[in-house]
Amino acid sequence: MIKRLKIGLKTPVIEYARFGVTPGEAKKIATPEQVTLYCKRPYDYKNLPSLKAGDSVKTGQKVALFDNNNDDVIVASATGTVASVEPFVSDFGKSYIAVKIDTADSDDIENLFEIEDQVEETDPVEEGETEKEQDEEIQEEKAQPPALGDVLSILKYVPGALECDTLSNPGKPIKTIVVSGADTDLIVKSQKFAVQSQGNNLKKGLRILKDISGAEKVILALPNDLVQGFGSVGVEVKGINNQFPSALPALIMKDILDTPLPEEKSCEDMGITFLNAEAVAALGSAYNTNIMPVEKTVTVIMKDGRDVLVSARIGTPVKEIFRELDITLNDGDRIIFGGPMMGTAFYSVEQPIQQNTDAIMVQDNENVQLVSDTPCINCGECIGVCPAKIPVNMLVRFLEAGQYQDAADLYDLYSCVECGLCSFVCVSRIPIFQYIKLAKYELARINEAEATNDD
Amino acid sequence: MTTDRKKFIVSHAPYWHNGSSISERSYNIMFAAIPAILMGLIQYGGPAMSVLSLSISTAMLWELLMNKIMKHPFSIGDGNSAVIGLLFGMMVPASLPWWVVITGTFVAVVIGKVIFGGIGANAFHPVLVSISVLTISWGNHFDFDSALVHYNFDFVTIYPLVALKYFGVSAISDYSVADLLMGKQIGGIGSTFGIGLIIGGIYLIIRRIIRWEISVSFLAGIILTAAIFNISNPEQYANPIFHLLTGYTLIGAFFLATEDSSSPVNTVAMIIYGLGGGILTVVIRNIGTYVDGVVFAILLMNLINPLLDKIRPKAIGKVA
Repeated sequence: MIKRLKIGLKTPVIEYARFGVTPGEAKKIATPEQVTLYCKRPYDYKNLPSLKAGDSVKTGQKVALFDNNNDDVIVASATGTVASVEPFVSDFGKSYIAVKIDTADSDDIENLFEIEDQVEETDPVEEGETEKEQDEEIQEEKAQPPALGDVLSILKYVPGALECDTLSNPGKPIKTIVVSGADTDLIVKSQKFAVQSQGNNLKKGLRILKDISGAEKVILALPNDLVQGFGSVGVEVKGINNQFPSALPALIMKDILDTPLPEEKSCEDMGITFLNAEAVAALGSAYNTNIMPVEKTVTVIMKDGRDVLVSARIGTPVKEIFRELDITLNDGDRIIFGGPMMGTAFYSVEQPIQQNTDAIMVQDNENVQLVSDTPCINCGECIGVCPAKIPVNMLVRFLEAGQYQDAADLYDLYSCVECGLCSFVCVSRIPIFQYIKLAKYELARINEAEATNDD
Repeated sequence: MTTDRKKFIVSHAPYWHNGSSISERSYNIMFAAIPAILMGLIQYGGPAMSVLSLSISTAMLWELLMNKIMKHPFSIGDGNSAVIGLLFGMMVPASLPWWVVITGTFVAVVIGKVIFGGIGANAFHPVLVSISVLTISWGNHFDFDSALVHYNFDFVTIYPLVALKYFGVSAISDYSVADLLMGKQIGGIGSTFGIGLIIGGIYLIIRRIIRWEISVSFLAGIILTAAIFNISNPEQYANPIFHLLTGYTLIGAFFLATEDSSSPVNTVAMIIYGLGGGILTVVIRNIGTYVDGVVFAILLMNLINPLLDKIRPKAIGKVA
């Protein structure tokens, strides 16, 4: 959709949105009549959740879906009664449990650390030894540094939390925590907004992380234009350049940490974990106010390319945001969760805002660019633009033929950082990025099947 | 809610595109060829026009016919076969008989491109396949001196490379650099106007339609090799500038060697490819049988292109 005259010898550079000096307030979206929250666990008909329709919940309350299980919880983002607990299938076949809550008119906020509540909710049988100790510690000395278990369980559910559970993996000790205040996708400003508007909470969150996580290093990675003002926190502050896609974890590892991610390894395998600045600021806010933050900042990218920051409760269906912003949708439009390069298109306006929904993009059907089935003409644009130096022209030939294993073995499939630039520049308009995701997905399925066969 | 029943388009990221397309590239190549073609039309008049028109139209028709026969969607809209026809017309003499033109575009489009699998799959430049087949089959029609014998020009009407090959270095003193640059030499319809080809090439480079590494290294290969020959024996071998401005050198550097699917895309590979093409060109011209070496040099480099493209940078995170 970006039409730009290509002139010059060098590959054109695409830059992230620069944030203005004075970020305006995010527009507040009213609490909707119903919020939908996802628990990242497949719905199992043999093991039905004990949470039932009619149960009442309070804002900020940690609600366990099953008795005797503290892992599968949701954090209620509004006060009200549970309307339904049902299965939901997301993209790439990910299966969740969706909890719908009919919201009440008044907001009844549950405090984060009321010791009595903590004890009530925490089931000692299921908790790990260390966490139990830490719980006791809290009971004894509330003024002491926050407990690791609490911090982890907050970080998992705050606005800005990443999809995967990165910190509490016992098999993979974390040596370095990178808190990134740069938005990974174009135009999106939600993380930058968190850095600018919640500086104090972010600092508090960083101090907590530094104190309790046991990590050797906490690094705050910020866009170059935002690095000022965080020297006093005592964490290492690094600048990320403005060229897309340098804010992606794999590229931060390569450029800033100087340890390129080996293929087929995750950042966690390397002892490095990434957190969003928004999540860390929310952590700080949780400890400052003793209330679990439930409002997510979302950059809404409108049909005409303008963008607006809104603040909505997690679980708000996007239709509420569209209504508030007077966005009308027609057949053939596109709703995208995330930014223009790496987002996920959704088919329904009922889709709720989640912890990691940094942006909502709406595209008019006139601007929807379709892919084509023209073969690769070997123009070399993707080679020039690929930040991972993958031979995309060869890779795509293998992917089109469905030869995923060869693609991985010979042409660096697993080096892909999933930025979408190859599809963006493709002259033949091949859905390269989709092929890559499909290949990774299929290979993962094959590997999984083989692993089960071996058992 | 009124928006509930709307059907939205769901597809995979990214949701933007930079707007480039194959037809845009083709039109740009045709646009870049205009200066060189105009000079050819001025020099050779009506016959040049008819050869060009016939070659472009038949190239497109061959592709259309093959689409029909193979029950493929029509692909002439991408402009690739038009470019093939155009380049073919630029390389042949204005007096080429109509049946040679039609045969030529058949070889280029059908044998050179379609049977390899269509656009993007051709291992060789289709036009070069065609020109080499025709040169070997009907060499007399590609002998510019006899083909253009009925024209009267105010400049030397001996094909410069023929003059060099058969009359030696002394004969080339008749050609001034300015004349060669201004197209005052005989040759293919669109391959003699040096300045026009250079302008077209620079246009393609700054619009990123062709990869500059290939053009520059091709020209560098010609200059270097010709200089070595020239220094070793100035009596026998022409100077680099002469090689640069005669024959198919410039059209080769900017329009032929740079064809997408038959040339490499990685930097080192592109430089080797270009240098190799340039070196082979001068070697064929100076010690081979043929007067011009561009066609065979580029075809040979096309042949090793898949091997060359294995020279590539290591992807990030690649351990082995």
